[in-house]
Amino acid sequence: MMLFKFEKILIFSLLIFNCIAFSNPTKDFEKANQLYKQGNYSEAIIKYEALLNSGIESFDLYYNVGNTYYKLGEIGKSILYYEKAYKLDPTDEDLNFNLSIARNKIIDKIDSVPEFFLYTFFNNIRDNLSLNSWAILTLILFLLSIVFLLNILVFRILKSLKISFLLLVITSIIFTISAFFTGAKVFEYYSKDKAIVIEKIVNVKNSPTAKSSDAFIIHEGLKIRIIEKLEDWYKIKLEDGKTGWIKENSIGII
Amino acid sequence: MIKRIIFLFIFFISFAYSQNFTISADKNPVSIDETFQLTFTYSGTDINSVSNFQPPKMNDFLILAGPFQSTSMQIINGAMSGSKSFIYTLKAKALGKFKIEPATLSVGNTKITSNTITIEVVKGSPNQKQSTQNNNQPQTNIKDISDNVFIRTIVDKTNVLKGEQITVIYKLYLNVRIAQPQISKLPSFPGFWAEELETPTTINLTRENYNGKLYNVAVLKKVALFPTESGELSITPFEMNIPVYIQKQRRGNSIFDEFFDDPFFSQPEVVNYPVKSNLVKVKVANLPATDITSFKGGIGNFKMSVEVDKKRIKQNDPINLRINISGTGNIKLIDPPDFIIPDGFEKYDPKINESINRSNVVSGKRTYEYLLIPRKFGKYEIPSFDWTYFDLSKRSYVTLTSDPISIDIEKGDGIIAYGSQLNKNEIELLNKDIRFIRISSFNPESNVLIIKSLWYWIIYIVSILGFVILYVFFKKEESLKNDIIQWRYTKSYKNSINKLNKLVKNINKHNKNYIYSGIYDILYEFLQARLKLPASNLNLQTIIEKLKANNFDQTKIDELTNIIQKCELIKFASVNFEQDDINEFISKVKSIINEIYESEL
Repeated sequence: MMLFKFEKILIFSLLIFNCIAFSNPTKDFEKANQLYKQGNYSEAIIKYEALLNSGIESFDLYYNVGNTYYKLGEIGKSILYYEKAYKLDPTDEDLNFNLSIARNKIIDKIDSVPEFFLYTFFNNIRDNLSLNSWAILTLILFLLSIVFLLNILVFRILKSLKISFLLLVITSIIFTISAFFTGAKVFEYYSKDKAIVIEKIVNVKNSPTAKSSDAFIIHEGLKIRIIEKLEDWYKIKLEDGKTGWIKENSIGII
Repeated sequence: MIKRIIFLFIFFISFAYSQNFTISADKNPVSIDETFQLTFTYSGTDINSVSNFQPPKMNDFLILAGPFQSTSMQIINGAMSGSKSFIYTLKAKALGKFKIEPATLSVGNTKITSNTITIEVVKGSPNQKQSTQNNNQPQTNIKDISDNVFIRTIVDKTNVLKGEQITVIYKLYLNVRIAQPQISKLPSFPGFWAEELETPTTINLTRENYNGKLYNVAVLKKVALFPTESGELSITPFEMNIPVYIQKQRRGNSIFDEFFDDPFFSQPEVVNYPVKSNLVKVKVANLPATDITSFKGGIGNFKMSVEVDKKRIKQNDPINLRINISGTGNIKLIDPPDFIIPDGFEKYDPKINESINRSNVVSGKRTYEYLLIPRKFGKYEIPSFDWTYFDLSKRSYVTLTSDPISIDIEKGDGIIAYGSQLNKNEIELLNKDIRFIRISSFNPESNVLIIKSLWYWIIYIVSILGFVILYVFFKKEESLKNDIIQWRYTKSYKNSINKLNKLVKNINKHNKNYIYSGIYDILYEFLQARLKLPASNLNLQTIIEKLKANNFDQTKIDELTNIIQKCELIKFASVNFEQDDINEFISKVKSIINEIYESEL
């Protein structure tokens, strides 16, 4: 049936209404990016924060937020969001570059306790791929294993039983390793024990009370590990092993 | 000549300084009815040449014993030194103050004179009599105790300004024998800040003449009080429980009573006497009003000095600023001065060090140490600041001003603090800017994780299920196939024989070609089933191979070969064999079939 002029207008206005009433994250993101391009970082961060508050977890969002905080001079928050982005994709070149620039501005230079070499080796492999890449790799290897198994037990695509069996064994082993690293990556992704200091200067205390004596002083941007929680205090550990208590609003959990 | 005189003069003077001739009394003031010792002591290097000791006239005293001589010598490093004493036991004749003239002594050829001494003779008290004396004076009773045991609170000022030090001393006065006392209540000082002054740890009794009577006195406590409130403040009393030895009253006057009541024989009674010091009230006035903001509570007499440990450092390196305030007064109650730090400096809460002297007046030094960290480079100055205190002697506020301190901050290595070195990578990264933001496709999905998506796991499940289904299916097919093969194997013999018989029955109905074709087909069908050969692999070659493999008789194989070849020739090549007997041929075929059937391959 023919749409009369009136109905056309009605439908058109409904469409417009939809666009305005229901927020479109992509549009907001683009608006924020535009503000960033203009150099209006303080306004850009407001728009980005709104997107963050709506629960969106996205590499691009975290990366841009990290950039904006860096431009605003808030190194602590900048590193925090870069680390969040790193969790989603550790292989991104731009992110790694920006992260090293931001880390250069950390005031504290902590000598890390040397790790067990196997542990470092294991972590290097684990961080070589993002969680998604590991997941896909595991899936592919699984399917291949099934195919080779089928070949041995059901259809005979490859004539030689020996080759088929060898291929099956290899694929299964690689699958198990891949699954293991995927699991490790998942564990790391969900562990909420790493945080970044976001307050400019913090006096870390010996006990979880403001009247306690000071253990040491740290500055924004430093990566710390959370050991314990008591009300609104966290017990933290630095890379060189020092421990102390800090208020929860002085740090941001990655 | 003059040189000689000077030399001798110095020589004798040196002698004079290295020797000593003094008078001392073991008790002073002394009671009229007690004995005391007067000692004349010479100390020096030349003891042996001491002679001709001339004591002074001591007419105001009874000389009970003396002079008693005593010598002591010491040789150190070849040098000899020592002292010689002349001791007299005296008793005063009357009350008053009596001067004893100096004594003289000859040391070699020199005459030396002692100092003088004035002995004060006061009224004695009954208990000071020696036990050998016999007297009828009344013994101590309870009514007299308060006169003989008491604590005095001695205050040096009763009218002070808030914050001005008051020194309080608690002294115990004794005229009786006592056992170990117990403190029942310590004084409290509400409205004051109290600092305990040094008191010797052991109780030392000194003699003091108070109100004309002689007492043994011990200092119990010394406190410095700084009033923190104004108005009339009280110092609460010091209370103690003192066990006092009391002599019993005389009962009678007979000789026997005297004998038995003698203090030497009787057991003294002990009474627990509570002693309370006098309450002292102090008037405290407020300091004159002031709106000087740099007044931080200091009252007394103070000095302030300010210093920094480095005047030229790099950005982000720490500086220690020390403010020292020293003097007498309420040093423990002061606050530090306010001061402004230059732009770009960070100031941390100060560390407070203090050393306090608590002899008679509280004095000392307090140091406030501030950690400062400059974040920007350039020339900066910590401006001068004030600290005001109230001077008690001048009775006015005095302001101390620090000198301004200029500090040179050099450009640091950029970002690093606390002296650590940059490594090569970090230097390369200096002053580089970050890369641009991401503006391309934005995925607003809350979950970017594949492992959270359903389809990832569905693929796993589907692939496993698929595998299982295929496997099962395939296996079933196989078994089915095997069944068919087996079925065919069993049925093939009967089948073939029947078919051949049928062929024989209808031999006249068909032509040669048809018959031989039929035989050929039946034979092949039989062989395929019986030998379980797949159709794709069914030819003469494989048949012979299979029969050979099962040790079938070679002659029989040859015969079978002939039969098959003959059939083939007729069927495919239409070769015409005129003189053959089909029946005979068929029976040959049957026998071969039998053979194969019987051999049960």
